Amino acid sequence: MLARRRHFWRSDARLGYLFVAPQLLGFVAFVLGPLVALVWFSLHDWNALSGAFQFVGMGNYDKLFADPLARQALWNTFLFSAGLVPFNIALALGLAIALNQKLPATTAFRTAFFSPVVISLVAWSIVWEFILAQNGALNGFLRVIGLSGTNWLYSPLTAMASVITVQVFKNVGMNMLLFLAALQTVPAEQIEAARLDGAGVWAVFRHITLPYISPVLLLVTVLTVIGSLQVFSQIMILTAGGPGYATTVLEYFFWKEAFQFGQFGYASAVAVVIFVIALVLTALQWQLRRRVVFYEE
Amino acid sequence: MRHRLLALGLVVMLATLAGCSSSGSTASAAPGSVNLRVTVWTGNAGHLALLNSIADAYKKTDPRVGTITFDTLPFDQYSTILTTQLAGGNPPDLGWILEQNAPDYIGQGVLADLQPYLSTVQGYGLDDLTSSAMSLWTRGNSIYGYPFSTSPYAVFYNADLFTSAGLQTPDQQLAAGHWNWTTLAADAKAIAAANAGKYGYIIQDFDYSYWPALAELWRGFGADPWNADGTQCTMTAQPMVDALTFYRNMVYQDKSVPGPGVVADFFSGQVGLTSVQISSAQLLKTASFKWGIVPLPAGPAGDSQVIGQAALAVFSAGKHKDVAEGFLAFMTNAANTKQLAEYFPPPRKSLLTSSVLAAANPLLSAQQLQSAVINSIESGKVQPSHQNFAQINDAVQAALAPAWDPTANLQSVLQATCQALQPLLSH
Repeated sequence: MLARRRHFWRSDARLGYLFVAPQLLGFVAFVLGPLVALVWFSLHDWNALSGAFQFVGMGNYDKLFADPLARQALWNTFLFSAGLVPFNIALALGLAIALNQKLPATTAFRTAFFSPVVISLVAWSIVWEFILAQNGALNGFLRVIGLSGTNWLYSPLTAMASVITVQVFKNVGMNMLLFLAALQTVPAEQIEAARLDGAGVWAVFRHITLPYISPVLLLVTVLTVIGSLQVFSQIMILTAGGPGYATTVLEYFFWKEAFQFGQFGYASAVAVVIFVIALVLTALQWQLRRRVVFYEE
Repeated sequence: MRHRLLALGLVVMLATLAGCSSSGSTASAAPGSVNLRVTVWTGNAGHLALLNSIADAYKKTDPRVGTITFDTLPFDQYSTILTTQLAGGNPPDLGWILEQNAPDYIGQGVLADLQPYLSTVQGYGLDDLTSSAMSLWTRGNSIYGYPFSTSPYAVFYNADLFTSAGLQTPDQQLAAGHWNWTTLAADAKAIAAANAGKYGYIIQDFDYSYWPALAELWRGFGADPWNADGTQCTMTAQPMVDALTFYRNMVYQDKSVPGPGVVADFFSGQVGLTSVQISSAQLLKTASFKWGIVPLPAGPAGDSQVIGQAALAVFSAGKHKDVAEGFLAFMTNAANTKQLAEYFPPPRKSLLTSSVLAAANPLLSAQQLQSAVINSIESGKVQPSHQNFAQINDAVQAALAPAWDPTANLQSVLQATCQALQPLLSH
C-alpha cells in the first residue's frame, strides 16, 4: 500500500492535480462553501435586524410551499423563462444565419447586435425604462406610424413581455456569436452536395446544419435557461416586481425577503429552491443530449 | 505523522488568533485606538465638510478617538446596505436613520437608548427639543435617535405657468384665505389645459410606488392608512375614499396630474405645482422659471402639515457605544446643531427662527420661511410609519396598483388593500 502511494505522488497524476488545485480551492471556497452555508441558513429563522438566529428545521420550506406569493413568483419565473428562452434562441439563430455571409456590411451588423452584451446592465435598463414610459420613445414612434401604444410597464401582461424583451435584446448578441462560430464548422461541401441532390433551404437546415450545430445549441439552451433564472437588475429597475406582483420572479422574491424584509433564513430557502430548479433543468437537458446531439467528440 | 503535527499546529495558531481578536472594554482603551464609523446617505461636499469639521472638533475633546469616518451609502439602497452590514456582523457605530425605519429599528433593538447618557451631559438641553419632532424617536422615557433634520413638505409652484394661464398665484390665494386642495385642483386643471404637453400638479416622490407620499394629500382630508395606535386598517374609511377619489379625478378627468408610467418633472418646468420637501429648493437655483413656495393646502379636515425626518442614532451592536454616544451628544448639542442648521432644519425650539433657517434656505424669504417652514415643523406629522414597515410598504404598494387604472372600482381596491394590510398591522 505504501508503495502505491509513493508511486502516485511521483507520477504525472501529481502534476495534474496540482494544476487543478487552485481552481478546485476557488470552487470550494467561493461556490461549494457558500452553498453549504446557504442550506444551513435556510434551516434557521434569521432576522437580520435583531440578529436572532434560531433553528427551525424545515419550517422555512413549509412556509415557502404555503406562501401564495412564492407560488406566484414560481409561476412568473416559469412564464419568464418560457417566454425568454425560445425567443432568445430563435432570434440568435436567425441573426447568426443571416449574418453568416461574407458581405461587407455583416461585420458592422455583428458588432451592432453584440454591443448590448457589453453595455452596463443598469444603464441598459434605465434607458429602456424611458423608452417604454407611457410618454416615451416607443409610444412616440408608434404614434408616428399610426398605431397606438399602451402603458407597457404598468399592465401585467405587457410588463412581463417588456422585461422579457429587454433581457433578450441584451443577451441575444452573445448567443448569436456562439451560433456564428458553430455555423462555421458546417462543411460547405455537404451543403453543396445536398443542394445538387435537390434539397430545399429548409431541408438543408434541418438535416445538415442543425445536427452540426446541435452541441452548441444544447450549450446555449442550458446557459440561457440558467441565465433566465438569475435575471434581477432589469426587473428591479423597470418594474420593481410590479405592477402588483406581475413580474416578481423567484430571484426578485428572494431579494425582497432578504434585503427588504431582513428575513435571511427564509430568503436562503428561496435561494435553495432556485438552485434545485436550475439543477433539475440542467440535468434534464444533459440527459437529452444523448438523443439530440450528434457528432459529439 | 508529520502531516498531523502540521495540521494540529495550524489549528492551535488559528484558535489563538481567533481568541485574541475579541475586543476588550473601551473604558480601558488606549488613546487614539477607537475608530468610529458613521453611515450617512449624503455625498454632498458641503455636508461632508461640515460633518468632518465637527468630528475634528470632537477628536480634540476625547483622547480615545482615533478617526471618525463618514461612510456614504447611496440613498435608495441605504436601508438595504445597512441591514446587510448589521446581519453580516459589521455594524457601524453611528448612522443616519430614515423615519420609516424608526419603528422597526427601535422595536427590534437595533438602536441604543441615548437618554441615560444625554441626561448626564451638562448644558445639552433635552427640553429644548420639540416634542412633535421627537415623537417618532422616543418610547416613554427612552430616546433612540436625534432627529437632526426635520424637513417639512411644501408646495412649490411655477409662477410663469400661473401668469400665462391668467391665474392668481398660490401666494395670493393663501393671503386671501382660500388656499385649499379644491383651489389647487382648479389651478392645476387650468394650467394643464392652457399648456399642451405640460401638467398641473405632481406629487414628486410618489411615482405610483412610494404611496406614503400621498399623505401630503390625504392628511388634508383627515385620512390615514391605519388608526392612531396602528392596529386597525382605515383605508376603506370615507376620508381615504374621498382623498383618493379626488386624486384620481385629477389624473383621469382633469388630466392635470400625470398617470403611471408618464415621465414628468416640476424642476425642469414641465409641471405647474408640486409637493415635495423644502430642501428641494436647491434644485431651483438654476431654474429657468420664476417660482414660489407655500405650505401644503388645507383640506376638508382642515390644515395638516407633513414633515420628513432623519435622525442620528447609535447602534446597539456597535463595539464602541460609549465613545459613539459621546460623539453624538457633541454633534447634536445646541452649538453644533446651529452649524448643522445651515443644511438641516433643527428640532430645537431655540433654533426655529427665521434668522437661523435663512442660512439653510437662502432662496426663501423670511415670510416664506415662517409660513412654509417654521409653522410646518412645529405642527407637522411624519408620513405613515409602523413596525414591520418594509412588508407593509410592499403589500400596500401591490394592493393599490389596480387603483391607478382608470376603470378601477376604488372601493373594492381599498377593501382588498385592507385585507392585505390588516394581518401585517397586528403582527
